[in-house]
Amino acid sequence: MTMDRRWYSPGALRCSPQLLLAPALLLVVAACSGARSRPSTPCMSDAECRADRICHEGRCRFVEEVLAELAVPPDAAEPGAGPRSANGFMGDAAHTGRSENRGPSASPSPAWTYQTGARVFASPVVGGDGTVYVGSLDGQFVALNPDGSLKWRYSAGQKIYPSALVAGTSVIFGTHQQELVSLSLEGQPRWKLPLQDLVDASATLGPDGKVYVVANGAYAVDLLGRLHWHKPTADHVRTAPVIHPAGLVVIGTTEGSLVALRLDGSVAWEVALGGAIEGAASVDDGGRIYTGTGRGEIVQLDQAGSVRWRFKTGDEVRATPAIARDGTVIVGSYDGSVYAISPTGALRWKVATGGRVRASARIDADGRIYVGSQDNFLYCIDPSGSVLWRYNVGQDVDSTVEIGSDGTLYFGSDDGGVHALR
Amino acid sequence: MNVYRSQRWGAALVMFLAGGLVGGCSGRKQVPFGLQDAGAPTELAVEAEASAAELPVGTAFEPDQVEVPVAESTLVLQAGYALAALQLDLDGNESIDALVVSADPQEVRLQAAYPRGLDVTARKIDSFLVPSHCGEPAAEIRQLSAALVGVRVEHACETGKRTNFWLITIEAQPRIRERITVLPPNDRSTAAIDLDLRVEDRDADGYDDVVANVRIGEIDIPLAWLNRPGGFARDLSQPEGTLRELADAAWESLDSDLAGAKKRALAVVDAFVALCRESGAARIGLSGTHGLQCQQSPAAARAVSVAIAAAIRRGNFVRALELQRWWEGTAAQPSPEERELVQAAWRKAKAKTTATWRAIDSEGSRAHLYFRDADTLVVDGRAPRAIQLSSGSKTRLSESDILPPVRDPEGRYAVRTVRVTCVGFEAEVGPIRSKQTHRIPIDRRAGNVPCKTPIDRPASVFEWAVLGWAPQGLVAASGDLLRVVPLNAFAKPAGRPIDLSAGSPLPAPIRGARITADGSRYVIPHAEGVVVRDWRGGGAGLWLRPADWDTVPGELRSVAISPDGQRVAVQKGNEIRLLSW
Repeated sequence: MTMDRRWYSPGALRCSPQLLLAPALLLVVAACSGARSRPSTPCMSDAECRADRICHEGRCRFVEEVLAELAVPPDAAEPGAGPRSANGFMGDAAHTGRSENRGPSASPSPAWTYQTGARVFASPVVGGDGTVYVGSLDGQFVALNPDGSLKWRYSAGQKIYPSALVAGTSVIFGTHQQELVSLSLEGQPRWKLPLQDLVDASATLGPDGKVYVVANGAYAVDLLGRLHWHKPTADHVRTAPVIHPAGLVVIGTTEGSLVALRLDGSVAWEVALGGAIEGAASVDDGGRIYTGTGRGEIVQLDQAGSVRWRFKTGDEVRATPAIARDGTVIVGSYDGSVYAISPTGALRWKVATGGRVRASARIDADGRIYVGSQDNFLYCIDPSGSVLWRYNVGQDVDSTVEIGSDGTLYFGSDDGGVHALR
Repeated sequence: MNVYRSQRWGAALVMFLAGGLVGGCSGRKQVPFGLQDAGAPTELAVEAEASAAELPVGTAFEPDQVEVPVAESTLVLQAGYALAALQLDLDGNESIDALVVSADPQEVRLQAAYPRGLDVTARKIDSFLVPSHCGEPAAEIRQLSAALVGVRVEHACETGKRTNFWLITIEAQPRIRERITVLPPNDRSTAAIDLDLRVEDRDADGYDDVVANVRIGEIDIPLAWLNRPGGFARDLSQPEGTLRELADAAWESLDSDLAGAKKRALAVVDAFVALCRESGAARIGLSGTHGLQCQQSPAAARAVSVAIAAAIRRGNFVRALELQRWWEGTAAQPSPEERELVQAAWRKAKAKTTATWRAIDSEGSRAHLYFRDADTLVVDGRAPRAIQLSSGSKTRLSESDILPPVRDPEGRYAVRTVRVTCVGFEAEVGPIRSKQTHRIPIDRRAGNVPCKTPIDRPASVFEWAVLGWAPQGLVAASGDLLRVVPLNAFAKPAGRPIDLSAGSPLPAPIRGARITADGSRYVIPHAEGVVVRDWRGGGAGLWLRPADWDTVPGELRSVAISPDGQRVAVQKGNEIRLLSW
């Protein structure tokens, strides 16, 4: 730009339009440039925010936005997506029962017992920081520190049968109040979703970030507590939903049907197995589905719902089949035995206990199997079927064991105890 | 012309006389107000009573029957199935008609059936809907008098037996005179209720009245509908009349027969709850309304007083506090005499342990007391200070040293006070470092009647109080009742309040002045002392009233319990004292 000499004429007030605009443009650029703008003063209390906003982490925010953010954990792949990891019944969404942790190989000693007022049927779930979460039939849901002391307690007002799902910063469980409850890791209520029936089974986190739970059919709920769909069934459902890698949610009904739903709630297939299904199904690494029935059978199905084989035990099978890393199916029966069955349906071994086996088995990183029986004992069985040890709990053990990162075993018992053994 | 006129008058006279003769012989007495007669004249009453036993009872049918015989014809039901039918002449044409009760899963219907030649015409009289959780019904139709029929329909429902009654007048177009419903037990009323209908001339006016004898537990209460020219009118002297007799009997026998007095008193209370709208848990309905309108019930107030006094004398202090809640906002307001009976009982209550107390400070204004630790009591009054209980030393506290005792787990919000408003009881909650507050309902005022005058005052220590704040929300108490008010991380309501049954687990940890952190023990203030309640262990409660309680003037203004639950600090009048036992 060449300078116009008229601008420098003494006394001349005339300016080039470009020069007049330039400062204004500079001001605008400065205002819009975040990097160069002066930072806003952080708020210190809600009083500094307008109307219905609160001061959260130094910024005035709407309550709903903050709650929504808190419900989705910081490790989520993207906003609105589910957490990358979750811990719940049987350790994963396929219900394999496998744990990355190593449990005790020799007879353990009691570390502590937390006493509730009624039977603990649920399997304790351990969070990332070692906090143990479990509900009791006396209506309390507790978070216990690794040393067994109470961290917090939530009063549900009705029995709590199922294990919790710890997904990110949310602890989610159903109650006999016919509702699904979500709490923060500190025990503060996030949301409650009323369902139309009692909740007897644990929720499962799907690959789409939704929580699947059953009562009078299957429900899909997001982490903010919004219902996405409900697929009603004629009968009550007591089996935790299992997630198949093909994008199916599989549930069993008390009338003996195994139902596979797509993630949008539509029915992919339904097969009648001939006996009430009271335990959740599981899925192996090859996509094969296993479930027990009231006729005492363990059934393998393919992902299209075709029955491949049935293995007969002496009585009802209400436990969820665990799947070892070599594909062996481990499951207990009401005939008192724990069975190990090959993926082809052949018996590998059988261990007799003194009572019905209702609990599901867990498998540690070394393949050791931990399972409770109604003969009052907790059993540790090696992959070849030898009993390494058994521990006398003094009460029926129907709760599935959880293995902590330090090898501590956590489980509930009929006398209301939450036990830690190591 | 005159002949014709006189002939017409004569004909009219003849017709008039003939009509009178016919009407007089028809057997139906004309009621002056044009309504149908509903009872026989006095001289026939004795005969009617004598023949009551011969009055017909309807026929009950087998399940799924859809055909009902009516005289020589048959009524085929268009919907549902027949439960029962009573054959009788409804329209006075000397042919047999029928009253028919039928049902389908949603509805029970009452119809009148008239044979017309080979056909039967049905006309619906009334119906009611059936709750979905009730099973198939059973019905009975019974003629109660020459002009009245009673119908009883029973359902077995998930929550218990549900019974519906119809009282019908026999006329060409039968009319419903009353509908009575007896509901299954609920949380507050569990007594068994039975009801029978009969007729009797209650007021000796020559007309049959209807009496529903309601048996609640072991009490019989006659609810009467008196036959008046304008129709049936309920005798409003009941149930209060019967309840008052029983309450007075309980009152008289309190000193001589404590157990009997308590039993009688509680029976009156149970009956009041079951019958009266004012209880909020009535199980009797009349013509669609819920409960009888009992208004103020001196009988219930007297019975409650006797029951409270009996509970105190038996050492069941928590039960006494539970009963004392009756005095708040119900129709059972005690008289000064009854109030004094209870106060005297508290004063004389025999505690299992001897409580002593010592003065530790004084405070002219109402102070908030709380224990900072087992040995340090904070007095948040005109001059906030911390008192070391072992040494007695006091340390002045600044505003920033005072942390409200009832605050959320993260220490962001606190309960400032509990207020009584037109909504009911509300906790005033706000950020600790801000004056901004919002209100959380703890106990909503019963009924839909708006406040006549606005209310907004601090609640007294004897009313609803917030004991503490747990991760789940506020733990509030009124007497023996504990309630959880769920709050989210921002101190906003997060669900319906939950009333906890005795011994059920409390949310924890709880941060507050009047309850231990694990919720195992809390203190309930009373005008005559304090009750320490062991929540998990149950029991009657520990009554603490030092022998020289009355020597300290003024009423109880503040209480706090130590973290270990072993000591209680109270502000009575202007004195702050430490209770030990």
